[in-house]
Amino acid sequence: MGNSSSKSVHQQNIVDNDDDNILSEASLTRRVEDIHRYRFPIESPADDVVPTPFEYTAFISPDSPPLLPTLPPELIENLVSHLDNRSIKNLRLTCKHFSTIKLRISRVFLSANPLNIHVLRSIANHDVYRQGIIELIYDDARLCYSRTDYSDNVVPEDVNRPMTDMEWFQVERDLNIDELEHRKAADEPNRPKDLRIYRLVNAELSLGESWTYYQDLLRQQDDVIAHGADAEAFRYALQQFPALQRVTITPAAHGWLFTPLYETPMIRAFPYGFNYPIPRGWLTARFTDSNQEPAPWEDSKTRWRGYCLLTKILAQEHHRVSELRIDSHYLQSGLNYRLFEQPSQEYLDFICCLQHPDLKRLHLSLYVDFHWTPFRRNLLRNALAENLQLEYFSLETGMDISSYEPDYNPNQEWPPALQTFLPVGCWINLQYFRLWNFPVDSTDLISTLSQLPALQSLELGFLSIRSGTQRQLLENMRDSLRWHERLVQPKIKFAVPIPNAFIQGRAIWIDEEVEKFLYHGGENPFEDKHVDQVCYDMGVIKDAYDPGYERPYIHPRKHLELLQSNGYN
Amino acid sequence: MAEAKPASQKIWLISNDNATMEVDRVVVERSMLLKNMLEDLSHTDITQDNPIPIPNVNEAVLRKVVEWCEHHRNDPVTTPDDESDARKKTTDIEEWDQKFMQVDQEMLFEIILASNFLDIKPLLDVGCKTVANMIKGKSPEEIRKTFNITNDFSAEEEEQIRRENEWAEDR
Repeated sequence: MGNSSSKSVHQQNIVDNDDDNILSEASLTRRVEDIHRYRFPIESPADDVVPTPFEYTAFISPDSPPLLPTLPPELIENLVSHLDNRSIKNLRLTCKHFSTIKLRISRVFLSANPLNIHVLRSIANHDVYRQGIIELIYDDARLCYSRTDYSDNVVPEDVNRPMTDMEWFQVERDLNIDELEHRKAADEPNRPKDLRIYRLVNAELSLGESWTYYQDLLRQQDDVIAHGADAEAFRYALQQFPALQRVTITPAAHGWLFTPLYETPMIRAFPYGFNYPIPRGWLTARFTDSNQEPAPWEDSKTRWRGYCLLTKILAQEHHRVSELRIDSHYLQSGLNYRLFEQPSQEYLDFICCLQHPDLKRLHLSLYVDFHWTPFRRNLLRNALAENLQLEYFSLETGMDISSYEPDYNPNQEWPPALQTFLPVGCWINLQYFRLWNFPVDSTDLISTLSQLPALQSLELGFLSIRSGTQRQLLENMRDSLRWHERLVQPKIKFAVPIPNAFIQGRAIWIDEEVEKFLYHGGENPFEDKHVDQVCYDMGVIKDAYDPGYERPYIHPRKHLELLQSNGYN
Repeated sequence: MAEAKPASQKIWLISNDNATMEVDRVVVERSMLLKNMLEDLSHTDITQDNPIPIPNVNEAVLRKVVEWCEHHRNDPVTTPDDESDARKKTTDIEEWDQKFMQVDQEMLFEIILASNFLDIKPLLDVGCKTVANMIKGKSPEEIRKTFNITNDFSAEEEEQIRRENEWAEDR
């Protein structure tokens, strides 16, 4: 496990070098040297060059009048359609004529940060840009003040010797670097994206500077929360963005160090090389491998502050939002599912959001434990049954599926049948069904799917199959659902964890193989000998936090050969 | 309209500086403007002595455009890509087209204008992509240098654009 192994190294350091403070001058210097020389070395100037694919530049005589500005507007528009925003920004800065070219802005960001709020409000006040906004993303990961603020777990070192805030800050900076090392593509040494990260790591802002900048961010955050400025901005957004379709609330915006999932204005404004404790806001499995039991909703809801605010406002205000995404984005996180244990104001707000006549798409990431108690009550089912026009439903949990063995572990249970908490019989318009990181009984799953007459697209990932295997699940799906006999077959996406290499967001995708098996008599992509392992050379490994990362799933021996051929040993 | 169109049928074009060119009909039909025009004419209407006038295009440019159409005479008709798709593939200019576009800026912009006028969408796109590639990865000052653009901003105006730029992501 990536996080847990890197954590143990650091715990070791803290214990072994108890007299040698990790904040001491000597220790910080050793750390920098270690990073520069061994962990992220930029070996030669050539490493530093990002190749550009096509470098021809047509000549113009220095005394010729400029020709580019003479192009008519429709051709400038065509030209700009080939540029990313970064280039559009630079073109706009060349002269007045081009400064009127419009930026490409279809989504806005919000969080408890004044810069994010300022930018959102500026766009909301702009008569052209505000019309084009279709998505609002709320970054619900507030920055943390201390270790205890970061995690509800008490870990051993806290008992022995409480960490100072600055020590915690530095440990988090180290963990970030470990995580980066863990995630880099070792088989492609000169990948431009990784080189960019190498440069950033090498230019890491010092502890002192980072700490000062961070403290300032914390003060700004306090200020926003004290005044509810983000809530007010969200109300204003609902008024000012007539085309707003999607509201996403997520703890994953900060992604990983130097590779945020969303480049919010706040994140874009960070000083170069700024290394800070990546916030997750919501309860997120990180310091333990097994899932921590979430506290009752009423006692813990402040962790989901953004969620509470936005659903409350969506319940109160007039809007046309058709998609709500409560999205942990493959992190072991989610909305505390004890929200569905007993009625509360937030539960009523959730129902209200679902009752909205325009709501057609729902994505729900839930933080669960292994007891599933809230799923045995009727609250979730009743809430979901309020929306009969749903076209898209996605359910994801933050559970650690690798440590889930309810047949052997008396502290773990199987969840109740899907149909007891999902009102599938009511969803006659459901076109897209997604189930991610979830334990299921294959008979129950197949019976659930057979009750969705309008289904066009199915996504299943990280399933744990009760009394069976994924190989059998696919066989049963083929034989019971008989989708291959349909005129139009549902599109399938199917993902499994990479064996022995847990990296959050990374998975083996076997969409094509599963479709071939279900519809065209292809081979079953799962091995028959090893339980639930995908056969080598099937599928593609992808990373939800690194769109360019794609690798075939191959035998470890082949992978080793590949690494060696790239100069690793 | 429904007359047979032998593959070898010839069409004559005349540039705005009075150069006449003989071109295969299939080649001319890469231009949607000319294709539609020809569909409304009988095949005997256009002769060497009665060529189609191309009013906005001079001989050098017209020859370049015809050269491109010759090379791409057998390309399948393109369906309009959706915008995001086109952006992704933007640096994918096929090698022949890259070489073809290695001309000075005056010619480059003339080709773009001519392909726009003649409605040859794939050539227009290659032209625009070529210019886009000349902009990508450059700072404002480098773009100005590349295209002889003069900075006519006041400091305040520039600051205003800079601020507005911060509203957008870099993607």
